[in-house]
Amino acid sequence: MTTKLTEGITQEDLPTWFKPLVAWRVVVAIIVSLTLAATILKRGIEVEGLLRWTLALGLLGAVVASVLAIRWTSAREHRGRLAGFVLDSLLAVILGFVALNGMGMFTGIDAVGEAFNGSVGWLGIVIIGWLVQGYAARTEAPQVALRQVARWTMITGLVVLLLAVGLIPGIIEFFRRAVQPDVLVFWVIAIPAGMFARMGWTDSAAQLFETTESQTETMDGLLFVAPNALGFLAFFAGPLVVSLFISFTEWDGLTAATFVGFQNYIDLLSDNLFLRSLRNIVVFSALAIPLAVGPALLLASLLNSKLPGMKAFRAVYFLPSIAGVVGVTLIWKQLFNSTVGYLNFMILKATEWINALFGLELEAAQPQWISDSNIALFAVVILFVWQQIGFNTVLFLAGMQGIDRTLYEAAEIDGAGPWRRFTAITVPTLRPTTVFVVATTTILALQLFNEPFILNSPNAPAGPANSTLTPVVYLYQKAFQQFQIGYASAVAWALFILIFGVTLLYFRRGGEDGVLSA
Amino acid sequence: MTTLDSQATRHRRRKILRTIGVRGGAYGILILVALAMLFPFFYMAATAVKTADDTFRYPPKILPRSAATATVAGEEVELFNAPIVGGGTEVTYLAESGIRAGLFANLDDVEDTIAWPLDRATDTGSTVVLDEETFPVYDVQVGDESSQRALVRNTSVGRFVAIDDASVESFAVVRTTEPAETVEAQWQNFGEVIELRDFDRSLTNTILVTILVVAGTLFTSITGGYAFSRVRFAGRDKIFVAYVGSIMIPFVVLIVPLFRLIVALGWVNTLGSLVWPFLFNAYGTFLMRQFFVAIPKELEEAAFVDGARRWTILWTIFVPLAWPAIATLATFMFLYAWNSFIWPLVSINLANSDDFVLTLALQTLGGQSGEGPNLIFAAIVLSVMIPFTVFIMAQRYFVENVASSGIK
Amino acid sequence: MKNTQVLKRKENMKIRMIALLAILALVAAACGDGGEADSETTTTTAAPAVTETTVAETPVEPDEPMVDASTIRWMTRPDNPEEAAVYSEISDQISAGMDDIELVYEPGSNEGAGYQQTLLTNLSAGTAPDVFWIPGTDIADFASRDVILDLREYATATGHNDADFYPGPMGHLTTDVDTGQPGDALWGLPRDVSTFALYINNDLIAEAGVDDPRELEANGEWTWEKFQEVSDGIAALGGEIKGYGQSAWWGPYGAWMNGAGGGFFTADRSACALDSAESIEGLTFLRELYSGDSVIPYGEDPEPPFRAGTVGMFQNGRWATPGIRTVDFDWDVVGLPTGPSGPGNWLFWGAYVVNANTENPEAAWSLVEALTTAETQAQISALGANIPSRVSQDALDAFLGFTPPANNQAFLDGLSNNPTTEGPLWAGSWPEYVTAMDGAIQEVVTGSRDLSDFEANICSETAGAFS
Repeated sequence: MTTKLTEGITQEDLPTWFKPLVAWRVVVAIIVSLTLAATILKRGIEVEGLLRWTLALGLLGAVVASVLAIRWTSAREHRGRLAGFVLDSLLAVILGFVALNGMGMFTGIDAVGEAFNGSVGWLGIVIIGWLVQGYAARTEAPQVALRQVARWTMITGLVVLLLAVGLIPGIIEFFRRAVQPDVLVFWVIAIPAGMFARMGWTDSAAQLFETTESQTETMDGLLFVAPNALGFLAFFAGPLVVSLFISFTEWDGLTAATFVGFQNYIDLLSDNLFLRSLRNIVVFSALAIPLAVGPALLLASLLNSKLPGMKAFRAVYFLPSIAGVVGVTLIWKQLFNSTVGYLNFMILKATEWINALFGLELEAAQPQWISDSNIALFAVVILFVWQQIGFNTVLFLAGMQGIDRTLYEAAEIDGAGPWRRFTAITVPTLRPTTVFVVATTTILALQLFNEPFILNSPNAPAGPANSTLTPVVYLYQKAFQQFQIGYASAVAWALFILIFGVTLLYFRRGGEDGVLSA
Repeated sequence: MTTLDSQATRHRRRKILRTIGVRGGAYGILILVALAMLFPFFYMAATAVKTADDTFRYPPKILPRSAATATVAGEEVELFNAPIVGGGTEVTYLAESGIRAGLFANLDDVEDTIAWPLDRATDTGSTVVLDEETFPVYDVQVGDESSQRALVRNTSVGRFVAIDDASVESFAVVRTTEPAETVEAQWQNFGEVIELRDFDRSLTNTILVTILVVAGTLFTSITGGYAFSRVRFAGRDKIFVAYVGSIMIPFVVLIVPLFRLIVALGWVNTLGSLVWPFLFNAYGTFLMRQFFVAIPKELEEAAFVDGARRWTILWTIFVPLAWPAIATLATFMFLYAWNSFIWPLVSINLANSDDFVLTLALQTLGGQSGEGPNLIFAAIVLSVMIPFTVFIMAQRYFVENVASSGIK
Repeated sequence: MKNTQVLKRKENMKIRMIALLAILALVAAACGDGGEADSETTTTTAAPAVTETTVAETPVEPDEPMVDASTIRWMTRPDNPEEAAVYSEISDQISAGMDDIELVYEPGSNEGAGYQQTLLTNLSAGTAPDVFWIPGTDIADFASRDVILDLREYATATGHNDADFYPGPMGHLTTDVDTGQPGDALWGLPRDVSTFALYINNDLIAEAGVDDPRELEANGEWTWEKFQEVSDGIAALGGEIKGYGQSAWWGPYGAWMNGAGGGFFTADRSACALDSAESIEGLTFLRELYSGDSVIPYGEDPEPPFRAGTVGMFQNGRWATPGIRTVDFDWDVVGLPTGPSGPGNWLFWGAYVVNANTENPEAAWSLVEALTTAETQAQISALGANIPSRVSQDALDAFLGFTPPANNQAFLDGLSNNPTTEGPLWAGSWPEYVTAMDGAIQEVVTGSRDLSDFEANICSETAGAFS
């Protein structure tokens, strides 16, 4: 489907904005070239080493593209539209970002935080309005009046909230800052770039360049992907590459970095603490993953019945995964306390009870959950499993609801008991779900940080005799407590390789069952 | 007939019994697990309203208690259930403490001891050997009775006086005397913790950050998911594979360079550093894409014929249909933004509580020497209140959709 | 039917668009705001917005540029809210006394929440304050990385005299980075000093009928053996009552090693001395102490049980006093028991240092001086948290006058009883040394590692710190 939209535009038919467009293309080429020159000559652009050359390389590409774009545009080749569109959009976005950052827009939330603190009540009104409106809409006979009232409450609340957090002074301040000379420079380029990009998107531009429908679709696609992809590049892909680069350097974050090749990785292999952290995380995973998955499967199959009350149980099981790891860990820290904590108290009571019941003389174990180096890791396992099990149960439950009920009925007629039905039907059919659950739990487990970090003190996050030192804790210590940023990055990549390998292994095996077929 | 009948009945009865057994067992397990899940939260709620001393009590007690008091001679005194001479206990107050005393053992049974003031006992000068150790023997005057007892060691006692009869007095080791207590919740703990570290500011900061992250992620994920599912352009599928692959990359790999980036942009110690980098989410894009892919083509084709642009089609046709997926993503992002810890720990200056989010405030409070667990727990209660409320209201999306979208 | 659905959808659409608009508006408000808030807040965080512009910003530029040159930001580590309040007040006072300098005090986070990490993060982000406090063990690391300023030239100009402060800390504060020997440098001035003492629960001691440690000390009988006796005697009360507790970090066990005449390093701090006979003797005592059940298990925080009244003796520094003062039993302090080679203790200290990137080093130095005058130190001592670092009778009197504890002198005795000065490792890396040592000693004390194995290998295990 590559029909041209129109044909044969003559010289006289050219729209009035064609000449400015060509001129603009030249301007863009000049701007990009100047930036490239500045980057190479270290004028006004302060980046170091490799980053500078990466930037220069990117800019070189942009120079080539912008020069080509002049040619294509003036020749009204259809490539000209796409190239111009991409260049203009990027220019507008990047310069707009720089200008906005210069205006303090991105850090302005802090100021809002202050005002928001005082006016958060209005948010409550908005939410109440929203809820009432939803209720009114859902009743048998829609209650129009109530709905209107609720809606207007909501809108009023919102308006007041916005005013209270300073919308109007905010907007005034926005324009005041926008005309500051050092910011204005960027706007002067960014705004026309944006306008030309918009123009390149119009139907008349499509006609002018005799663009095909699929090219228009490509432009649409880029536009829709852009908000996500640009941020993704800036805050994910870019840092990822930088991280890899840092891992090949020795760097304290204060003075210049030195390139050391694979030295960090070689050092890792003989670093006792790193190896200890690997050992810890392997032991932890070997315990925590089966305990967080196996019982979850069992619980899910119990919940997967039509008995009353199952929804309530499901909700209760889900609570720990909502509560937030910091709060939950602090609660458990107190429960784990070996002298006044509930866990040891319960063990004591349970032992007394068993002794009384069977006439035994067992001695109650009173482990020092957090401070005994032989036990600390198990305490973390308990905490992790407690938090994770409900979430996994719900995942399994979802998988089970996809199982054909008639399978169970047929098996029941054949005289299979509940356990037999569980092992013969539930477990095999749930294999894809199981792979998914195991994989997500594994990824979480290998990145263990919060629990050991909070159970211990920030100054000694490794726990008693390094018994809860995990790779991420080690990374944190190296990067943020010991000035060894290059080495920390190497730890991060080693961990990534581990996670990648394990995940690949799971999905290789799960893939046969069609987990990835979606 | 009758035998058959009774056989069938028996069979049915057995079956019913078995069903009851199985169901009872199932409920038993479910209830046990539910208790294990809920207990820490009960404990949290109860501890949040305890006094600081009460949190260190052993054996622990769930309900918050505080010492019962009474006014004696114009002064408020704490009450004890002290043992009195002749058996039983009496509601008393501590009239005097630190009295030099001895631990006196029964001459026949070294385990049977009482602690009594030394000035109410007189040394007989003789000694006795108990368990191969030699002790001096004293005449000990308890009430009206005097008896010979062995002084095992020195100790100290307090003098307890009955609250309603000043003539009734008794001596006992203060530490082991049971205090009279009332169950009473210390609601002011919540006020105190809010005062202490600008906890309310942390709360509103977290709400603000969460709102922005959820709204921003929804926007970028919806547009990105739409592009990856319904718009064809060169390299689309390759980019998508890269996106999906990136889900596997642990965030910690990014921490160091992301921090440097935040430094270069001047965003350190700002709430902005908690928002802007987290609006671009590969997982969300993946989720929305999977949902959009399943929407029938006819729906949008009709709109195309009417001359609608993709932008309009996305927001008028796709988004309303994708409501379950959007709700799911919103709940995910809500939990993520509300509970994230390691990144705020790095990017927010721990010295500046104006930019705290809840996780940081909790961690700081937990590390502060001198704060009793009761205040920390009050803070935890405040921090889980909103997620729990949201959960109760939006349970359907939390549970059903979180689950199904994870699998699909 | 279908019509109503379409209608409903349109309706929903409208609401959604409104909601979307509202959110966008909120974002806009968030971004554009600042002007209004700037006027009502004095926090520095809102400020950097305007001028922290564009690509021309270097990562290592010091503070927020909007703060003008005569503003000095400073930070210290208060360990409780009361202390933070005192520092805040002192900052205001000093600020009022200085004509053209405005002080901004940033209460540092407490130790338990990561003061150190905050500082390091801010240093690498270039947002660290002009003047900040660091523990004595960090001086070498900071000095050798050029993170802090050599203040000698400013000090000479104002007539500062090193001898006004305890010589232990000043030795490290004047060490030459290249030679590792005391020289002409001046890295900062000590904020305060501290020593260990035993916080004792007099009620428990009386109840157990054991000898009063204060009397034993007065009679010169307060030895390791007596200490063990008292601890066992208290624990004999049974139940959850324990005789003694210490926290699990290098300070407490180091004090016992010092008491045996050993230590972490050789006298010139250039090599490991953990395997010396004296060090091993100290560890042997600790190991035996911990093999019994009369003490709080190693690694458990002893402060909560001490405050709950279930521990007889609790070893800690002066900094624990403000927290202990809230307990409702009769308590006091007593010196550490005398070891086989005489008394042993630590001289803990931390110093105010100046950020190498400060724009106003003279003003920063005068702040450092103002923060360590006898008056300021007396004022802080009056709160009871710290011992003055200046050898000044006024400050010491203020310190002694703060009761309870009645026996404040125990801390001062610690200062004169041959304490080992806390200090960095100029010839190596202190953090690395501690990391390696700490785990090994924990294993020894808790009995999971043989002393002979420790003795044979510890110095090679920690050798990496000296490379």
